[in-house]
Amino acid sequence: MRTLLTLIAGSLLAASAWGDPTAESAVTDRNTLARVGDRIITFPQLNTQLNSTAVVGVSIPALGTPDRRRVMLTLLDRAISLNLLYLDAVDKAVPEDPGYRQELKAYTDGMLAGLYRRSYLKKDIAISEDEITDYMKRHFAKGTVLDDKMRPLIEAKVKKAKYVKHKKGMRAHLRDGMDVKIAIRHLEIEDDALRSDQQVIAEYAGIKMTWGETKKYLTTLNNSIDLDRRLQTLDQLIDNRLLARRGREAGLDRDPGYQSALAEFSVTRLVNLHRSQLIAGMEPTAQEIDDYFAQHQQRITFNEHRKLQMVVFQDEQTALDIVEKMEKGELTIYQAARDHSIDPRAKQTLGDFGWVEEGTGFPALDELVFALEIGELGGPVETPAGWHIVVVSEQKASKYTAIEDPDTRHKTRKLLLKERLNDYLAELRTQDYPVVVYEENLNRLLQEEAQWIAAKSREMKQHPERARIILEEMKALVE
Amino acid sequence: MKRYLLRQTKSHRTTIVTIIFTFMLAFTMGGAWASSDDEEEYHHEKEESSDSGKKEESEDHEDDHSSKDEDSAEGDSVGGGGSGLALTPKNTFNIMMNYELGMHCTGFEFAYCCVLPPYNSILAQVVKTQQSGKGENAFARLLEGDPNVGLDALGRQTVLRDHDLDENGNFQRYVIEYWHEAQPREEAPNVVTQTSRLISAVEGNSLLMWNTIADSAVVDANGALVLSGEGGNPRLYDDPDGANVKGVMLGDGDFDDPTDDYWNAVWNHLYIYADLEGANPEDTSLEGKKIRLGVTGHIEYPDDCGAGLHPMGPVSHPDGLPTNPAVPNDCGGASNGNVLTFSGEHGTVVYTQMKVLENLPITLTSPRIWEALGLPLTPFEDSIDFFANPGAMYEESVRPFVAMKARLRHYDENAYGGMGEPVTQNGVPVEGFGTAPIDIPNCERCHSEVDTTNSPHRTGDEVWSKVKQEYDFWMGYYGIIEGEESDWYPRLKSAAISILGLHDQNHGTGFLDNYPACTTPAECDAYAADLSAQNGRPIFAQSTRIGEATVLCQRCHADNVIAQVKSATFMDDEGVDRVILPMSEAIHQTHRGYGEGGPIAFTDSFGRFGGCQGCHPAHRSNGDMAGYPITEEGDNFYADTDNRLGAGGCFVGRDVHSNPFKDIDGAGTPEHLTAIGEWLRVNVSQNQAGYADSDRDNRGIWCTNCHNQLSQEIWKRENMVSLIKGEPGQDATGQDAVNIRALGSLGEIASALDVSLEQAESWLDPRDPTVFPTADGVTRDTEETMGIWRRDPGLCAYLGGSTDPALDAKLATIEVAGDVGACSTGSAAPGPDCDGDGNADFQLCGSFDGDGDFSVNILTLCTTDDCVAEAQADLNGSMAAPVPFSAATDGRDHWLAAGEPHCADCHKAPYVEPSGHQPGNDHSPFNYPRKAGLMRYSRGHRDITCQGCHESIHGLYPVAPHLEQGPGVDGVDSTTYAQAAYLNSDDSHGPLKCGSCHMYETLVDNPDAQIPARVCEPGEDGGNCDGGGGLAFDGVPITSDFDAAVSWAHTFTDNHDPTEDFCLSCHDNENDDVSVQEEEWLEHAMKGRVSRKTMDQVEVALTGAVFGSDDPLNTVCQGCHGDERHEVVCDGEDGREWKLHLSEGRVSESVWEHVSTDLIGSTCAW
Repeated sequence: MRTLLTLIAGSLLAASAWGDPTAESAVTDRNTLARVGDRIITFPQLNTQLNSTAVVGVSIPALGTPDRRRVMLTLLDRAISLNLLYLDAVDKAVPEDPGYRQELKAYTDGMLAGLYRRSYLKKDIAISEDEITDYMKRHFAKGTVLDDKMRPLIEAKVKKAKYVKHKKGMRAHLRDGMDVKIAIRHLEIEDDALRSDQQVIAEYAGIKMTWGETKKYLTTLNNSIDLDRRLQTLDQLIDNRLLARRGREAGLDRDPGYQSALAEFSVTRLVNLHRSQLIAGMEPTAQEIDDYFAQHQQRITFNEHRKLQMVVFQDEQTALDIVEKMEKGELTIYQAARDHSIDPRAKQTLGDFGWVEEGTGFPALDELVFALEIGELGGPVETPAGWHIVVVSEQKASKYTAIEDPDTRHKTRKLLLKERLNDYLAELRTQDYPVVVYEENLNRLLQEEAQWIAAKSREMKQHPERARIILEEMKALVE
Repeated sequence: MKRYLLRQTKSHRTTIVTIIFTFMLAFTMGGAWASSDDEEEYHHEKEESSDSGKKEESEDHEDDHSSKDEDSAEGDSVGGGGSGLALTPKNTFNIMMNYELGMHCTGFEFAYCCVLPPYNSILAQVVKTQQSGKGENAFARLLEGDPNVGLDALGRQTVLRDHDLDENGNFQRYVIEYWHEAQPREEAPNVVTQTSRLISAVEGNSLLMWNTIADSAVVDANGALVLSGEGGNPRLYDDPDGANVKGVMLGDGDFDDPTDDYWNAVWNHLYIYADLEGANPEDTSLEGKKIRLGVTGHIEYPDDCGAGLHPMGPVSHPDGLPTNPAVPNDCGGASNGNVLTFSGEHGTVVYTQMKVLENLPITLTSPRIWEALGLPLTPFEDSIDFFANPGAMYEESVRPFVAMKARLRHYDENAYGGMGEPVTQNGVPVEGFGTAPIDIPNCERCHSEVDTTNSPHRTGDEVWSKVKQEYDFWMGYYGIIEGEESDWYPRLKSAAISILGLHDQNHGTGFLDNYPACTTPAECDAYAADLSAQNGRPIFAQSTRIGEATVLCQRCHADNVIAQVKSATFMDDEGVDRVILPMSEAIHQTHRGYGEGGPIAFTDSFGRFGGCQGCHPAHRSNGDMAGYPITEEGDNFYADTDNRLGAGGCFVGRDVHSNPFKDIDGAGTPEHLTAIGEWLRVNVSQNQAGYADSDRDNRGIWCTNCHNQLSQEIWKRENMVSLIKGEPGQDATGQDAVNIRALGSLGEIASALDVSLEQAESWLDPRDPTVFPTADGVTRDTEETMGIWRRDPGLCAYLGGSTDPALDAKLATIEVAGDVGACSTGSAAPGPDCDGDGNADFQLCGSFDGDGDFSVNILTLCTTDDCVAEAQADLNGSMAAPVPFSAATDGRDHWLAAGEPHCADCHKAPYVEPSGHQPGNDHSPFNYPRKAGLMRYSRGHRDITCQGCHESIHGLYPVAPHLEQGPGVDGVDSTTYAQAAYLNSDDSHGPLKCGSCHMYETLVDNPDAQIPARVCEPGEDGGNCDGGGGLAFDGVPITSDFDAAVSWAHTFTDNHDPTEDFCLSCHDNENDDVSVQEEEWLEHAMKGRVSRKTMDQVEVALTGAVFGSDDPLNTVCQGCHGDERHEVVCDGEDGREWKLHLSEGRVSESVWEHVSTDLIGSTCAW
């Protein structure tokens, strides 16, 4: 079962949904399930999602069951949709959206600033033997032996000293060779209302910072009380910009980690933005919402639910006798359930039946239950299960029953929008981008899983003494 | 040594479990709501059940008992001031349920961090109420555990035993089934439908803890924990980012152990030796003898299993009904399932190691409490499926006041968990319920925002880039549509990134150095596969993004809320190792308001800091967050008005102390305020009309009116032998110490504390001086005002005589000496170097165990002057020195510290906590001698916990709704609102009145009054009364004054001597007649005069032992009759008569057991 184990262990999470850019060989890979444009989706990716059911939102079906295939297809569909959205966004030139570009700029500035800060703080942090010897000389008595316990402590001290030195010198380093001017007179708090957005408040390396571009940071409540705080914030803003600038100058934008982080952010941001823009363009009219409700009311309406106490009798006369006693106050429904119900659970539950939804039970019982007042004793009524008496203890009212109700309209609109987005994606799939699903691969791989499980189940039946071992094997497979 | 190897399947809801569960569920469902396809199967079940249904059973015996004893005239004395009509409690059993904690985190998934694990406990006491004037049910009593049957695998008692007999003449036995229910949620657009209220299967549904990777602690060959920076281990101490953290528990560096998950790892600092009651049979502190919690090969926690090895509850029934589970839910065999266990005579106790002391016992639950401890509760019902579709998860889905429920069942040794048929009273099941609060502090309101006043981020900074990246990742992962669906989950996730990123930036850690750890499918594949292979379970996306295992805050930060009393150290910029702030201080310091020198603008127009409610849970019962102090953008909602108008959250407007409507239907007794309470009433609570938006005159007090420095200062100096009785200890001169709490004015209290009145006022009602210039022109010093959150200046400052308020209260009196030779212990460890000369300034006397671990010599836990002097008297050459908490626990842990606010701060005796270390109130490390104990562990009237009658921690009752809006409408905690009404005989909303347990009368002029019917009026003759003085409080007879009755009841604790007043209430001093030969005395309980418990107390008080302890057959037995030993049998009429000796209190329980065992070798199933 090495193959299956490998498949399952080939866990994939986040980025799984994006698929991989195609390498030609991958298309023929026996694990490939789908191809969306130039991107592929594999069985291991989805299997990991499947085993992470708590996250992906579908229950984990047992290995080898038909449900497993259904859920796998659901996941595959989701992955395909995300890839389609991405491809569509690129084709629709969403990457050129000014807001998107601005967000990317802010993102890259922040990431590069961080990279540079860390790389600067850690520079030259390696410790030489000379430095250790020097530290020993300065801090320990002559003849002290440097043992294995002491060495890491000394290294830590020396490293820390270097780190602190870098940290303290950071601002000076950033501004080295650069004239940074801050116009304090244009930052006075009492002049905020009078100041023009074009007013230059700081200048560094030939770059001017205006009040307009910085005031949202400098007029927060804290920075509107205390000029010193305002100046600190401004200095931090300048430092951040300089850090990013230094990062670019140092070529940190070629760092592989940065590149992959940027790749993720640019894709996720792009898809999220595209999705919301698409939705904004799909706003239905009032009539369309009305029509959608009319067509899909059954899906939208929440049926009434009721919580029941119930006693089930073998025959009507027994039921009537008990009802009479209950009406006289000689018996409670709990006692009736305990002492007279044929429901095998009754002695334990005392007739607590839980919540039921209107329209889902035996018709006669359903009719009775949803006609009763809270606390009213009803029945007996006959069903194939016996004769029932019930008391409704709680009610959860039906909802979304009329489109005039704002909540109903809200929910209907949302479902309609979702449906429109799905339709849009379906159209992309059929008309704009080639989607190839390698269903035979999926079927084959699922079949392999199913066969293995079936074989193990047979083995367990034949050799119950080995049940524990077999369960462990099954567990290992899932894990 | 017992070791509990509880490794269970790492149940990430594996396929196997799913299959098994599905099958078993199908067999148990049945019922009429099955589809017609199930008909055939149902009929089959019906036939079977029909046979069993023929078995007729008589009506509940407890119902028989609940009817009034017609021959009870003698017992049912009639109080003179009452209506003359004795009423019985409405319940035969009262299950009084209280909560413990209700911790919180940034969310309920711990992939990245953060702060605290969920930890909710059910604490319960069960009272069998008085139902007649004499006989078996003549006295209310607490039901305790049966040591003989139904013990779980850990040896804990699960069965309640009752003196009362059933119709077959057998002693009654019960178990208490428990479960949790979320409060109802109405259908709302976009929000997931609530189809069940049961909260039981949390992991993977609304919680990710077991599926969150963490490297649980590893022990070395000697059984000791491996720490960073020690023993040459450089990990963390050699952190190139400069964090250089030393003393952190380390794992083994991989994730392949069964306990390598968050919930197991977070408890690694705790251990036991034999059981969960603190037994240490070998009296050892050797590392190898310790059984560690959450460590592989020691105690391993299976999924959905609480810190005390109780399961979350029953497995979910499709209808949401709690049922006996088809699949065992028993913490890997450790427990009997979802039944409460009894904490026994020692309480539930585990150990932890302090810096200079091993085996610090931590009382998790006080003795004689029915409990389910440390459950990982969330505010989401099982049907929420949180992680399935976070786009449908709105903040309003939070149900923070979960109902913990209990049902009393007959014990059936053949039923799962012993859970037989439910016990009924008046034909209705005996149930109890209580509030289990659990919520999320909304860190995300600020931490997932950018460029707002209180956001820590600015566009373009490093941390914000990562926060934004995280937000977008989850929006994309789940396909959440911006603006149309809920982005709450992405905000929660990004808030965790924000917190870790800021920590990196400010403290040099590297939590996010690898963030995002995987960004391409290939990377994620490899990374997740690696983790999955190591950990033996599927790895969720949640666990991979930071490229590290989850950050366990308490590995570095001491945090006594989970009993982690030892911080790691870090190297500061000067290269000096310094103690890392404990969690509470670190978080509160970081989040101080602007006026306190912090970064946040959260004060209201009164200058009171809104961050309390802003950060601490504040969702209402209905999920509403209207008026939450922090806007969705992280701004201050109440900047121009009053925080207290944001009523309905965890404290504000809910708690009796902050609810303007508290007097509507409560007990109806006065507040009995001290000078401090009175000051707060006048200056804070009342007379608010005229301020912004107020038409209310009484807005209650604010969090900082209790959680403040004044409370600490009083506790520091307190020296009371008995707070309840007002009995002081002695000061340094041998004079009675001043009872500071009882002084007549705030000025006098300030004077006793050696501070000015202005200082005391500033402490008592801390205000932000930049927002609220005081009316009297006094400018409050913020550092002084907020002294409670200042960093402790350390032991050297303390020893140097500093009066800095940040110095903590004293913890224990230990032995110190100038050199080791002077120590009575013969060995010592170096104390601190205060003068910086590189040498210790004194030695800490103590001892080293076989592992070389040092334990300081604690002379006494009492730290008052007289105790220190007494300890000193026994020393020769060394010195008794009281030391502060901070020296022992690395900081001023204020979350659960003993110096937390007390009832006694504001309320007069006897409405106060008992002083610590009285019998029954010695719960380490929370209660201390001569100091007020913590309310959460305190006992009052006849061993009932304070919380039993007043509800948990703050003394919540009555939780009155805002009547103009209606109960629950404004979000007031509807569970607690209903709780006391369920127990009180007049359906009032608490605190509990006498009539909830005792037969009672009301007063003609006060129908709300409830006076126990048995109480005599002064001079009354007849019934139980024989011309005694009656009972009085402060000279006021309690038969005619409800307030006096309630006050007296507060004095009648188990430490109260009944001969002082109780006996004298009925007759003159007849102590001489308390004799083993005196039938009249021996029949007191049987005739309904005093309970057997009281008789035991009297006998012990007067003679040193209960009668019959020695040679009962020739003493106490013959006090009433001749030699009838041949009638001591278990069965038949004689057997019933013999058992009634116990049921009716004819002899003490211990004597009855002794005689029974002696004569027939059995206690007749007692």
